[in-house]
Amino acid sequence: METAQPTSPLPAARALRRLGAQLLLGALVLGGMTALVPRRADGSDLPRERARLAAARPELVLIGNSLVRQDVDDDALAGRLGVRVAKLTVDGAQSAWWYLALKNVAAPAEPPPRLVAIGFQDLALTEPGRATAGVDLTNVRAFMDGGEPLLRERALEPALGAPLLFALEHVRLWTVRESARTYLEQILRDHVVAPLLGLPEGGGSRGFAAALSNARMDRALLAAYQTRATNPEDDAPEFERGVDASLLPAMVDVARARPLRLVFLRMPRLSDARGRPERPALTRYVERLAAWLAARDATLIDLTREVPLEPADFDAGDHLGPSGAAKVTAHLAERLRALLPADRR
Amino acid sequence: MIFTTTEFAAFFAVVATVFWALRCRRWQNAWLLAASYVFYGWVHPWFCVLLAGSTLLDWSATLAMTRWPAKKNVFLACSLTGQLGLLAFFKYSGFLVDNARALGEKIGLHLPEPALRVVLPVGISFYTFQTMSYTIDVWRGRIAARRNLLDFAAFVSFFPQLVSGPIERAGALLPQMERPRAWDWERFLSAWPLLVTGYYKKLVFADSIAGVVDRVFMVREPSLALLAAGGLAFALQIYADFSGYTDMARGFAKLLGFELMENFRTPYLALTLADFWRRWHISLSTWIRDYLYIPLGGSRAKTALGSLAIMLATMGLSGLWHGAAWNFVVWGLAHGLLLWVSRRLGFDAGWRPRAAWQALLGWAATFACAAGLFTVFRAPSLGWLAHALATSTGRERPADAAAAAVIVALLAAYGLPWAIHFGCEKLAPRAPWLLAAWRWVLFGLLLLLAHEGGRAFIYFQF
Repeated sequence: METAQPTSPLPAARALRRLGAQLLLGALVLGGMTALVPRRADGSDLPRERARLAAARPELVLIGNSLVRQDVDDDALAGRLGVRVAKLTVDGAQSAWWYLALKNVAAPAEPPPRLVAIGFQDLALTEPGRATAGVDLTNVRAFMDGGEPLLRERALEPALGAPLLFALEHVRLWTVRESARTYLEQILRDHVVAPLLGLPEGGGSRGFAAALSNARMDRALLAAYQTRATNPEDDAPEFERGVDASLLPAMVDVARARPLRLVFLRMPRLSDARGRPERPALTRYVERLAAWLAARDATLIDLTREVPLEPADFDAGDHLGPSGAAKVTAHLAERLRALLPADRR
Repeated sequence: MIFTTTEFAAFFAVVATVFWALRCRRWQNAWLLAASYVFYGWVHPWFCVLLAGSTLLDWSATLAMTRWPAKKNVFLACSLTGQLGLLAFFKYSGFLVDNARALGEKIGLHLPEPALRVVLPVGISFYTFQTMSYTIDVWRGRIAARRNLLDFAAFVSFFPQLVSGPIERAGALLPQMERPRAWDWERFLSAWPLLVTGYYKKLVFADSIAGVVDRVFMVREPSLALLAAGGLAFALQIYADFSGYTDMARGFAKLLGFELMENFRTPYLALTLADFWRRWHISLSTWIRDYLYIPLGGSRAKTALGSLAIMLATMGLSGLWHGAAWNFVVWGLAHGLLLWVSRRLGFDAGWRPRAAWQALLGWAATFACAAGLFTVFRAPSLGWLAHALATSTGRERPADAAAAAVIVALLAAYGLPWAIHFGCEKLAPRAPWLLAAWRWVLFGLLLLLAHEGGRAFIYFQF
């Protein structure tokens, strides 16, 4: 039998000395770099957003991601309903961020909003681990108030694993990773490129965003790209299997405790507008979600079924263009009018 | 499985620990083989059937060549038919059907949509070329056919280089599978630089640029400045992505006691296009040279037209190897044409400038050609590119100029630490600690700026 020979070109002691020297050098370099990195505290976005709501005194708060930002015209909605409306949205946000936005920003607002509506798609409400890494985690942490044990137990640890979560929270170079990149790129756009090209303040970012905006994209290429990027589920699990491990019961509890009216908006999908049949498992899931919410004084508004949309109403992927947003806003105004509780303020 | 995921980190830790705990080379190879199949079949287990089929085909064909030498041409033909047939079916069938349908539409023939689309098994172009080179070398009598299936299968499926190369020659990697190996501290310490630079190139540089490049190549009517910036960005992205992968593959192989070939030698510093091809994807370009270009006649062609035809055929097929789309073919043909022209003008790989300005001019022309042609490579289609070029001039778009400048600034910012590392490597003989310290800076930047693993390597699709 051939066996590996335990010979080594470098004697182990010498190799270990080299390794030790490398590690010492690493500790010095990384220590120096860490000292230069500012710490971004958890909950850093809370004061600003709370102050914004305190100033706006909204009666209706819309929480969601880019779909809510683009699909609902809050000014038109406010006009139709005759109430003050505010949006709390972050691109890419999912249920972990929505939960924090409800619990830490919308619900504690004074005076409290009469109604909070949260926009979602597919299974997002019962998949709390979605969008909890990278820049999404930075956004989530910016809305955390204290340790957030429930969020940690149901969303962060199952999605990231305890070791990675520990590293993300305690290795300072890692904790600021996404915000460091965002900050660096903003400096390049607005403090390097803009002065070089003689652009006004913020002109670098505005030019960059305008040049690469969805409006300038080839529709077919963009739709294919977004389909690849979003990786839709092939299988929709039963609702009951996911709900108890999700943040949905906690959202309902927050609303009941305040109290405020809680509404969930199932946002429109391009595939539905194209007439693609919905998977039976997803249909069953939505029916059970609606029943579960109704039993807890919350409401589901299924915009993807209730609003007759054409593919031309969509701008890019599932995001609506102006015509689609107008239809959704008009329908939403009608539905919310009946749900808005009387003003107790 | 992708090198940049935490699941791969856990997988590799287990594989390497058990590998070195096993003292017997055969057990080590058996473990390596099992690990390689787990790695390859992680997402689609059925891919392993193809890999095993490809392995068995060439193993048995080469043994048959040794057993019946008079019929070795028949066995070579069987092997090549099998390997190329596999490649043709999985990689090119969709392309052929789509083109046949498009052609049919033009002449009024409506061919039906295919009932199913074939999934391209990742890495198939790499391992089929690797096993083909083994079979051809056995047929040529350059290496002996191997009887030991375990060693051979471990060579074909060696997971660090299985899905994106380097495409190793049997003469280099097989002997490493066949000899006893021992833990080597020197090799372990030499893996660290490769892993740090590889991960930096991929997770910081390539992935930071990728999103912007994706968007530029979806804009309906980009200005020339935006298109040029997008092309430049992609040229650097694909280099960082692919050479980063190679660095990681070589680093992980070192940790298991194997040496893989260098696949890139600063290709964007080449002074001629022929020199570029000696430095870019070396394992593929030498494969193409040895198994396609030289057998076709290579530089022995008697007429200028003959040498042009050989060059176009070689580079056109090289383009097609990258993907089943016309823009890859055009990319390859354009390289072939430019290579032929530059050689006719005397700018071969061995060309040496007599003055600094000649070197600068040679470098600029080569870089412009290579980066410009990568725009063709990256374009979503030739139609998109033609439309973009036709509409890109004659219009003032300040936003596009700003975006182009931002893209160049991003390239400079994310590329600067990499460039400094390159400079430190040049200074290493005089200041080794400077290089060692800068690697730790790269590691720190990796912690600070890396994208979470998720975006696949570009060459996985080939």
